[in-house]
Amino acid sequence: MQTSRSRLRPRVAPWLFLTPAIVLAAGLMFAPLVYTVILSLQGRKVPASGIGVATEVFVGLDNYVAALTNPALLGSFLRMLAYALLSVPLTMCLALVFALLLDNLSTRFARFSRISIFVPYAVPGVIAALMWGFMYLPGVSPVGELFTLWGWPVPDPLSGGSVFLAVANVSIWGGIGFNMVILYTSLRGLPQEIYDSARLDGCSEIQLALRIKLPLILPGVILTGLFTIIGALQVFSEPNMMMTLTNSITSDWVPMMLVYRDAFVTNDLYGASASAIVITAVTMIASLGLLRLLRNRAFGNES
Amino acid sequence: MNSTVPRIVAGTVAAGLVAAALAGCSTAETGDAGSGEPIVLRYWSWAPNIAQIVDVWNQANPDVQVEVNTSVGAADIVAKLSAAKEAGSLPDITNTTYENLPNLVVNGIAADITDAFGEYEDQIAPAAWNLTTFDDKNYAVPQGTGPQFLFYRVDIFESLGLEAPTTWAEYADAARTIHEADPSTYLATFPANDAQLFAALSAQAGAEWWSQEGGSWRIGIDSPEATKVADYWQGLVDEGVVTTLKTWTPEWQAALADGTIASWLSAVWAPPLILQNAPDTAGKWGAVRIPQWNEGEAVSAALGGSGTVVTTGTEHPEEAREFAIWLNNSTEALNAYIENASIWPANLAGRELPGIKDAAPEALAPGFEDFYSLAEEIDDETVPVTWGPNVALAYSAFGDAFGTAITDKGSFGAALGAVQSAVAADMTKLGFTVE
Amino acid sequence: MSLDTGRPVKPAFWPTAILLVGAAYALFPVYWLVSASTKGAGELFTTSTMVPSFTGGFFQNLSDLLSFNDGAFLVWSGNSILFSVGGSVLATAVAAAAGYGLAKFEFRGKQVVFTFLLIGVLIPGVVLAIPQYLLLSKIGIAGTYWSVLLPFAISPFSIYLARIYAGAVIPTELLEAGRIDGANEWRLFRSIGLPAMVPGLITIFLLQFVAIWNNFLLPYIMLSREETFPLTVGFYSMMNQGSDQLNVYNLVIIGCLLAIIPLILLFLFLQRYWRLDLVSGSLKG
Repeated sequence: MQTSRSRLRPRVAPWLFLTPAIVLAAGLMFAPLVYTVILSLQGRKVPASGIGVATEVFVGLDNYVAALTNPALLGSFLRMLAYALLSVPLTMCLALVFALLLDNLSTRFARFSRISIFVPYAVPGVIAALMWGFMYLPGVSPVGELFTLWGWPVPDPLSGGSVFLAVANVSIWGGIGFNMVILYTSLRGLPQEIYDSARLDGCSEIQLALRIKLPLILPGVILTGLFTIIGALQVFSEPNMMMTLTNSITSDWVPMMLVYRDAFVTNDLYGASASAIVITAVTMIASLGLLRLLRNRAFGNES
Repeated sequence: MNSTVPRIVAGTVAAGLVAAALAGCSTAETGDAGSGEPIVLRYWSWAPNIAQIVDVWNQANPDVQVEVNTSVGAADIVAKLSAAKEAGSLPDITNTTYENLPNLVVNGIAADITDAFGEYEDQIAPAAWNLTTFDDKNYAVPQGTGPQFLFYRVDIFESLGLEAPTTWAEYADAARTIHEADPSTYLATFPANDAQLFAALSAQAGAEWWSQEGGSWRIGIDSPEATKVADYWQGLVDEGVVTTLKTWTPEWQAALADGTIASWLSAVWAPPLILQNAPDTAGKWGAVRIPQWNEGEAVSAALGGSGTVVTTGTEHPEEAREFAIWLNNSTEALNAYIENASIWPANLAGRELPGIKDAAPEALAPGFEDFYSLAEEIDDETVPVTWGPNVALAYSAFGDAFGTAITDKGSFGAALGAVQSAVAADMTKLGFTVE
Repeated sequence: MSLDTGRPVKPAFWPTAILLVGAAYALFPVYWLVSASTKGAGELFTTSTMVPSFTGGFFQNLSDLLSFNDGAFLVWSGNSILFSVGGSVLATAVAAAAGYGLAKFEFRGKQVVFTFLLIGVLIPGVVLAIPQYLLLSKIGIAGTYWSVLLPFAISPFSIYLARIYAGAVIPTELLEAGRIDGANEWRLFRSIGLPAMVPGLITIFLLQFVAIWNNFLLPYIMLSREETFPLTVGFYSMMNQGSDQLNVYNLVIIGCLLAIIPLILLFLFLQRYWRLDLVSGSLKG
């Protein structure tokens, strides 16, 4: 009897450990997703013309047709891509460069620099967007003040093509520190003996960094890069905050803003649900595709 | 470290489960009238210092207590109310701007209060009454009206030999004069995010953004009258004599404070805001009627204004109606408003109260003491406005279309057309008949 | 880690300079926040925000902020602490159990469950927000603290980290030995698994703490009573009073400054607990 009990335990036990997670995930991630799908198949109609009370009706795929034929949705996707193409490489490259520089033994003030660059991680996106908003607006910008003092024209980063860089800068500023520290800890975990033999062979510090260190921490780089990309695909708070400050950002500037506006501002919960499902499907497919492509490089010997 | 951490974890999880069970019990909101406990009404309002005014009621009515929630801003309130309705947790009473009232009616949130309020018609300013009545049924108790004013810096005007403009042509000239004298200053801004202002200016010009004929709607957002207004402002923007800052931004508030912008097209509720934002400019502002299209005319449109709605989700409709009516019409409430906030009441008797009639706002320059008498006159000159059921969508589309037009140097007239299409399409989708 | 070659290490100019430029870039907006918070209401737009004022503006702003809406700022801070500590404790507990289960057992459907739990990270918060609100309303807890704590308790990233860590630091042989001795699974978890996982769990706790402290969207959707707002939503409501109220930027600025100080202190004083090698996956399995 003892043996049959201990043979049963290891099979039931894992499920018990996983129950809280499974219940929460099912209730708070999948149930809402299913509910969104249900909402996306409904609409609202008034029974008679004039002022009457609207009721919920089943509209089938009408909302999806409207979402997919909405030129604004395509526009917002393209802008989101432009934003991501700026924010992801810049965040990752700067994080990598800073991490490698920190790992360099001859760097001074490394600890101060490391902590300073990490500080933006402490700032919520809403607050960061407000701070940078003040920096960008010509009328109140301290940078603008300096420029005026030096006789230069005051720049308006939020107008024209530079608006993408301006918005991307907010998340780059916030994201470099965290990624840098992760990569730095990776580097710290590498055995130092490799470097000694390379240095004896006459390797310069830069060659050391690029030819030896970088390949060794590649899994970490890819992992953090992946999460940065996923974050960029879902960007919302920074442009949403900046929209109130400038004419160059519309309420559907990126896909998440479009969903938010339809659900919250213009009160079209059903249309917003359909757009949300479309956007989620696209970002999921893109993310999973990337994951599959890079899985082996990133996760190595994980099962 | 061996057994403490797991114990803490296990203990936390257990505590969590108990707390979750308790949380379910603590969502009971209102007491029962019969049980001796006071009825608690939930009231959503963004008005400044509203809590002090509600206190007056609470002290006089121990058996009907009102709990006010000030955290839902005017911009979000429609969305939050809709979400609350879906969730079955509407407050008992809520504030709303007049523009959003039709939306609340269409979505079954605003209750019909004609039985309690219908007899008040002659006590209320006609403009306000019209904005809260549909098909002869009242859906909100109006709180105030928003007669439009042009606020301008008297000192800046005087230094340039300018007088307050009475026509839009004079306004344009003033803009040119001010900008020429100092290219870093402007008479005004054309804000793409202030659709409410543009709607009021269109109404002044004779445009009807929404109107009803029989059972169907007509949308006149890009009507010739509105397009005239759009073209006028396009001219000023293209000439560079007005700037394009969005209102309610740090830049704009800074510009008002330091004289970069010398005027503000606003309404009766503006002076305390001017004071709060730029205390140094107190006593420097003049307040006159907004410019007219034709010499000698006196036409205006209302800018903003809000009312109090009893929701369909209340379990105490009688008490809720009583409070809503009290809040906007009783002497005690109006006096409390005068003391704690600023108000231009829709209740006609309220306008005669001391504290309103004889108090001139601090922000205004000497010579403008008849501010509130002027407000009353302007109120009578206000054109009636009909709001459609999707004002939030119209305003959002306006912001996008005009923001893009300004950025890309496109046509304001075309931008108006884009707003028209969006609004018409949305109403058709909802099932309304649109001509 | 010293060089065996015995060569003295000369300070290098470029790496130091580049990092200091990076530090300046990171700190500049924070410096601006400090300087701007010293500006009183009249000064904010009329004096240079790069040069702090010493005319008492800071203390005036502080006192105005603390008395804003009857002490709303302190209430918001308390809520932020509650959500961050409570949510992180829950998330860590859930992740610890799930990570242990995934790392230390082989069972059918394991890969499916793992994917099921992780795929949540790909669903954007904006998409989940309203349906979560509607569903939680149906069970009557929307607007309560639990409507924010429960969604924070499920963190796919934390589960992923916990799994890796459990796999790396818990010796399976010890568990097997325990099983042969007749110990039940919960006892094994409590006395062998959990203690070994503690360093990693602290990191998970800290990561989740920051994520919750900085989170805006979820509490914004779920909560409508001001007394329940965390700092992020509180500031947003201060800045969106509506078209008949001007923004009190000087209060928002000092509020932002006060809001970010706790986290910065957290970083400075708890550095050794930030075992971020866990995240980079450099642990050998």
